[in-house]
Amino acid sequence: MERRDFLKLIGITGAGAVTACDAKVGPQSLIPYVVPPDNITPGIPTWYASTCRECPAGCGTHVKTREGRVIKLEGNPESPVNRGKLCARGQAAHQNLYDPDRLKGPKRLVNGEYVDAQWEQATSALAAELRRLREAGGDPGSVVLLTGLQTGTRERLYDEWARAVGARRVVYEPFAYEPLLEANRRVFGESVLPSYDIEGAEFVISFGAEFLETWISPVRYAVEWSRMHAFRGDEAVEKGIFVAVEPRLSMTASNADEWVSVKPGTEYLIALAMANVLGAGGEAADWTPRRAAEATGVDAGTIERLAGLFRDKRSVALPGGISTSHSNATAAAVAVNLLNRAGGAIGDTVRFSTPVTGAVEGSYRAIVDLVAAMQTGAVKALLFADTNPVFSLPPALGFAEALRQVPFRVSFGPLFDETGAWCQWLLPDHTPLESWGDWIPQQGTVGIQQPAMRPVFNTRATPDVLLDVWRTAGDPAAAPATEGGWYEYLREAWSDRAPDERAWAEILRAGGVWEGAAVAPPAGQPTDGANLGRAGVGAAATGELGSGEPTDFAPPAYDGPSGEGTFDLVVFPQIALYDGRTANRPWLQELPDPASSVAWQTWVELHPEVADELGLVDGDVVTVESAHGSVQAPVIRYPGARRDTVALPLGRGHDRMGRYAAGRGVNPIALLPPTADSASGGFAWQGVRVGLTKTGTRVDPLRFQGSDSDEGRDLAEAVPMAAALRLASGEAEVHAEEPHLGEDIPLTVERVARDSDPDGPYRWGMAISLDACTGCNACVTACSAENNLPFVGPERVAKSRFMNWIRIERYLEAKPGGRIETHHLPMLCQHCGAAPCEPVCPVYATYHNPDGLNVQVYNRCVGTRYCSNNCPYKVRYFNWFQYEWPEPLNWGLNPDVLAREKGVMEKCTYCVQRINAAKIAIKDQGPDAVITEGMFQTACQQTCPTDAIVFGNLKDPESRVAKLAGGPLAYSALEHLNTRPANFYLKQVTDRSGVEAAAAEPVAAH
Amino acid sequence: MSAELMERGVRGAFYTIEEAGEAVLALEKEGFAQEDITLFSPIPTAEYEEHFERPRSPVRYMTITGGILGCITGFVLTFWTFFAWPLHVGGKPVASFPVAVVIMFELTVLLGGLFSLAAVFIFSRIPALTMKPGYHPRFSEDLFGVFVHASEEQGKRSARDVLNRFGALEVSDEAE
Amino acid sequence: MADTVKQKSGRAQAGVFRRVNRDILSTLQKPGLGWAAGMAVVLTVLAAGVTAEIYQIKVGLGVAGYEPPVMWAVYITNFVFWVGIAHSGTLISAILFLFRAQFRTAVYRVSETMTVFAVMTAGLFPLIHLGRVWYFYYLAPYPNERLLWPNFRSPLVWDFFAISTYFTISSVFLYVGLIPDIAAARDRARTKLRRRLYGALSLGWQGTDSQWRHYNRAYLFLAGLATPLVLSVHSVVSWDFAMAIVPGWHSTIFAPYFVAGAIFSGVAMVITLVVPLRKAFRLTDYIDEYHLDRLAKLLLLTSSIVFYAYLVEIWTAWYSGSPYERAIFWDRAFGQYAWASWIMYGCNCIIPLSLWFKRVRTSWFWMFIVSIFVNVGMWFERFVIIIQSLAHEFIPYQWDYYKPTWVEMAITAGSFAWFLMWFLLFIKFLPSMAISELKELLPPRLRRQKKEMEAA
Repeated sequence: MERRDFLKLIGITGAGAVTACDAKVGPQSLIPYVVPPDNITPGIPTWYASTCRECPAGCGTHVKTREGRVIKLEGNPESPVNRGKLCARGQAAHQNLYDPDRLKGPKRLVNGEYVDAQWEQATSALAAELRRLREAGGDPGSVVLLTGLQTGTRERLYDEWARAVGARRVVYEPFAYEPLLEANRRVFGESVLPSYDIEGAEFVISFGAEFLETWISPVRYAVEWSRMHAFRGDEAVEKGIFVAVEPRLSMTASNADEWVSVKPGTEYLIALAMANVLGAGGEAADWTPRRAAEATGVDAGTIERLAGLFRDKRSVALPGGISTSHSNATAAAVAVNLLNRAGGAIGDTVRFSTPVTGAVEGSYRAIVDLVAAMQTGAVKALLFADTNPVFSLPPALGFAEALRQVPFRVSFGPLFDETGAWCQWLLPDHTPLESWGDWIPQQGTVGIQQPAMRPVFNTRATPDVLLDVWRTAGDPAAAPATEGGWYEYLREAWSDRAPDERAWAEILRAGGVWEGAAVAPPAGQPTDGANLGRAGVGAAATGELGSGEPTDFAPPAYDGPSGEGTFDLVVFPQIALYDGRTANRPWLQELPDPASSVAWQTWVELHPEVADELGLVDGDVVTVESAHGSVQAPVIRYPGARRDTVALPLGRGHDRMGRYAAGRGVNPIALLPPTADSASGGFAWQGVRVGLTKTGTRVDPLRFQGSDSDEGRDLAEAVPMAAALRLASGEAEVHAEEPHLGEDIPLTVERVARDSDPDGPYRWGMAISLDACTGCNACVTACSAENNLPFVGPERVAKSRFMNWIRIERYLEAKPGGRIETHHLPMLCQHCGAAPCEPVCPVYATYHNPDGLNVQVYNRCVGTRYCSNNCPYKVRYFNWFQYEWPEPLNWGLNPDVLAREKGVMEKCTYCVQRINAAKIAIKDQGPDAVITEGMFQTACQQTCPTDAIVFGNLKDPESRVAKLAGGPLAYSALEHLNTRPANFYLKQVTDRSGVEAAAAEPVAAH
Repeated sequence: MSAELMERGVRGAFYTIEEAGEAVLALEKEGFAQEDITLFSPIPTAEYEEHFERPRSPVRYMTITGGILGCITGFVLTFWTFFAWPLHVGGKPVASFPVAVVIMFELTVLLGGLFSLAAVFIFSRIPALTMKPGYHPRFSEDLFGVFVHASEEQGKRSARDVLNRFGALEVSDEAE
Repeated sequence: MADTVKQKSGRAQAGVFRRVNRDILSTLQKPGLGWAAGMAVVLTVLAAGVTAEIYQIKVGLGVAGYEPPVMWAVYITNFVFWVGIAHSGTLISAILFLFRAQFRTAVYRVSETMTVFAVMTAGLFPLIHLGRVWYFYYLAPYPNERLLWPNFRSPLVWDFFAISTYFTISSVFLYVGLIPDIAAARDRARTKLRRRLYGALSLGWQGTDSQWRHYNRAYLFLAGLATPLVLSVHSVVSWDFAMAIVPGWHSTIFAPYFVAGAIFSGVAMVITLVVPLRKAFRLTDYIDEYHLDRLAKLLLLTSSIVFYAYLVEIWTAWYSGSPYERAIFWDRAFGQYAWASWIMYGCNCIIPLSLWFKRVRTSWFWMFIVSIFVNVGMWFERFVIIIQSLAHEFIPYQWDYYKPTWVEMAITAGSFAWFLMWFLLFIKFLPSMAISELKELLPPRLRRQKKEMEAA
């Protein structure tokens, strides 16, 4: 069948999917419909609780479907992991489901060409091959099932299956954090990831852990961080301090109160020295602050000050992630452990009682061994499930070449990715939104994963395929526990928790089984290490380590010559693309990086002064060359880069995978040697020295940010903690600080609330806390999903024609002592009371509605673009073209929101469709029923992990937004223009540790 | 005057407007009615208007009518639309006069101008399908003409005398 | 004796009058090769422009170089430029008529037609720049069942009224002025077709005293109405910018500043057109150094007003203390668009200073060069005001650099072709000088000729 015909067919049946169901999926797939399908009213969304599988964090989700189509994902508020929040990747998850480049069905390689196959044919072929190998009596290593990190029932199936068919299961996860496990084993004798209680801490110090971006469970930690750190002025309680020790001003570091910039690979010495100050003996004993200072270039005073903070406050230190894992990563993690122990954090803010998922022991080591085995030809068959090693392993390791020695290769990947290109069989799995499953993000928490809609393409759940293979090819002695398919298998595994269908339905509704629920940890879960903490603290006194072996704190090995013209290479994961698995989601490709504000492109981050020395400007393509390879990418000047480093982001540079990922950017992994951290065997992402050469070509830097500095315009305001406290406690006058530019018009909530129908109950508005906003961009993607925002592609981004109704402006401010203060400023339509955009429209296409919204009437707009010229905030976006949604991406469009035509202006509507839904919902409560707090949320507010965005009715004095907007830290952007914006910003709170105040002292004296 | 009177008359051609003008005045003295005398000129005769003591042109009434009409239209149009569907923009009052002023001004000028044009057409009897008697192509080139309606011979004679007296290049009977 | 003198002068005058008719009407002879060639070129360029526009409508406005926040660019630049060109016409024909400026008679017909055609060109650009041009009529106050009216608060609607009024009035003014001359053409027409054509167009004009009487009044009133119109139209256009909040636009000086600029560019364009015209049609006796010198002085005056306006703008920005205003003008002089700004300052302020020298003012060659420079400079003035201000607004995140694309260039070139096409047609089919008024107020050289003939 032709692809197009197929899509048409799907298009027709897709809507009917809710009622129709084919034999393969089985009637059970209708279980999610707790109400009978014929009760589904078109226009009323149906929600399914599920689990996000875009990274190992396993956030709980609520999947919104309309007429059988997934249109939006939102966090599951009941999930203890993400508490209702999602990151940008989670928000874009259904672009994976609707990826136009997905494999439409099974394929096999016939003399160099992939031809469509039938599932029966495929499974039997696979079964036949495995049976042959098993009966040939090859050693169990000859068949390898290579999977990514898995937990719960799917993991159990993989293991049992491997055992039954005489295969070996190898787990490979690019971001495996082995050093953390190894360090915990050494210090505490437990090879698990503890849960770090950031929320409960008063002082958080991170040694290169990008915990707001990609580290272990970013949404969870972002939520916790904001509760510990964000000061909104509603209560006069001092908030916690966060210090980041990193070689690069990452997004996480940009949210730190203090960024300690250290020489790459020496972060751990700071931890050691701090531990030393805190009196830790043993290894830490001989690392005095002075000695550490010499090695790291951070002055001893700072180290002692930080140590002091760590001692005086309830503290936690976070061990490094990808961007700081050198060949001595384990030692670095051990150092952090020592600090935590010396500071008494173990069992307090570092809890082994509830270990979390996210790390894989010996992942990289296993791959290295596998490659060796492959090269000897010992591996006869290799099956890839949810992993893409050919992309994420350094070419220098020779994995791809070794694949040639493997006669039989199968990929279960839903996309035709780099690994798939090496396989004879492509047996596409369902995407997570189409499949059953469960996931254990942390001990005691099991998230359920249920299909939210009928499969888009002719794909098949890999577990089903494996079960079929198992039955035919497996050892008859060890037959699968169930006669049925994957669903029965899963159901059986849950039988003890959900003995009857009511309990099961309840679990499906809740989206899983949460903490506190008496749950026996499924097989393979670490035992409870609750009392480990105390033991650790005890050990700290004596300075011995949990396990015998000593740790060598020698500096990391650097690959390549040092000296003139060479730089330390820092490769770092981007929040949007993680390890590159999400690279074919256009929304994520077009999401500007929080630090450099670049999209669609791999860039080389250079310190501006270094760039000047080399005569490089933004967009100049340079060749970055190491001993192992070279890549070419445009330069982006970034003050947050160290002079001795160049930084490249991971995640781009695919040559397969689909139209949005292929040929986009470069993959810096090509520069890396296959070095491993000796202690843990984990891959050493850092420690390569590279040279830079100018190619002379220049490309458009696909950068959203016009100017890095706000030119002293004070768009994103900040106050020192001390002042903020005085304001919050009412000691200080609110408008006491120096007045705004021009005439200072104190703009009150009451005044803004008057900018709507005087008899009407509403004036919608927002309070946006700059202190909480981390710049993670989750709101941007959430808005795109809710409001059908098109992605415009690199050529148009180059002309800054991007369509994000909400954008995070990032301004860098140089502070005394070379410090850089980063301000993240979410900018969206301000719904001004005196909107400059309205009177200039010749056709009333934009006007002020009775709710106080600044409304855009698409059908009336003729496209003079005068409104955009006259908008001081520049938040109106124009449809320069008719933007297309390649089938089936358009299935994800929100039917409540018009998809705009070419030639019209559009902008943030405060999710007016949600407002109206709420109005309809209260209609039957009589004429004077009023929408109350929390009846609905805007998409951006809903997903914001740090609750930086608070939306509500300014006319209701009890509403949270009115309280915050009336609070001491509230101000309006460009207030002096007297546009009376409905968005109030809450000032960022800086200088919590009083560093600047201290620095300013002597100046003040003169 | 009746049709057959129109057919007959005497025409004189002059080099200069001065001569032609004096001839016209003299003819009036002779007792010829103003409407019986037509002066053809290749150049605007502005200077001679008061000289001829003709009634001032009524064009001005048309112009002022048009202007006032336009002004009112502008006011009504803007203010009616303000209230026909009151929409709030930019936190401004629904109706505002300064805005109306612009429209009122433009329409004043527009209708004023169009009415003046109409006035020229109406009062100057253009577009005219038939030419007035006594015209000669050279009257749009280098000569000034004076044409007198005179049916009976005696009138014609006196007209000829006058025209000759004031140095007409040629005097001819017009009887087509 | 006295008679003979009178006769003599009379004969002389008649001779001169005949000559005026002959000379002016000779421009209406069969087009020559040069004219045809010019027309061919013009039509080709126009075709290119039209193609580009069709392409833009089909694919979307994105084919132009717009780079947010620069939402208005070359199209609006052209709009303001052409409206500006349109201004000198009415100034010369109406205001100078009221002031009885003698030198006007020779050039006012050309400048009036220039006005009409320039407005016709300008009027295209607001449409070309619309995102959904197929809904352009939403801007017009047409009655509809939904009671949807335009927003009279929007300067764009003011534009709509101002421009359409200006077009109507200036066309009326032009045509009324033409009637007696068309009549003259009719009386000289050799072919039947021409006699028919001009006969219809002249509406049976005979130049009788009563016709002249009403005609003169109406012409006076039209002049009276057109005078405030001239000043208002470009004020309204300037309010498109002055009414906006954009730093660099939001300024009370804009109305007078734009009007002066408009007349400046308009006069320059008149010179640019007249210089080749008088040569091509051998009208050197009608337009001579005397006229040129007067035009040059007008140019000098307006140039210094514009120069002054530039300085005041900068001073206001500094004195206001607003960092946004200051940033705009700093960036204008030294930022990304400095090159355009300095073209503007150079062409509009520095080069016209040469007009202080009579030598330059009376040299056809130099005046032509200067006028070209002024045209370029005034185009760039609008370019700078519109694009540079937008590119450098309140929010530094949204600063960007705009470059036009081939589509915009083609359409811009097309607009010049469109204008020239009408102009070429006009000079071939209608008297390009006011015959009757020239006779009334003879230009110096003909006056001299008349004297000589009298002496003979």
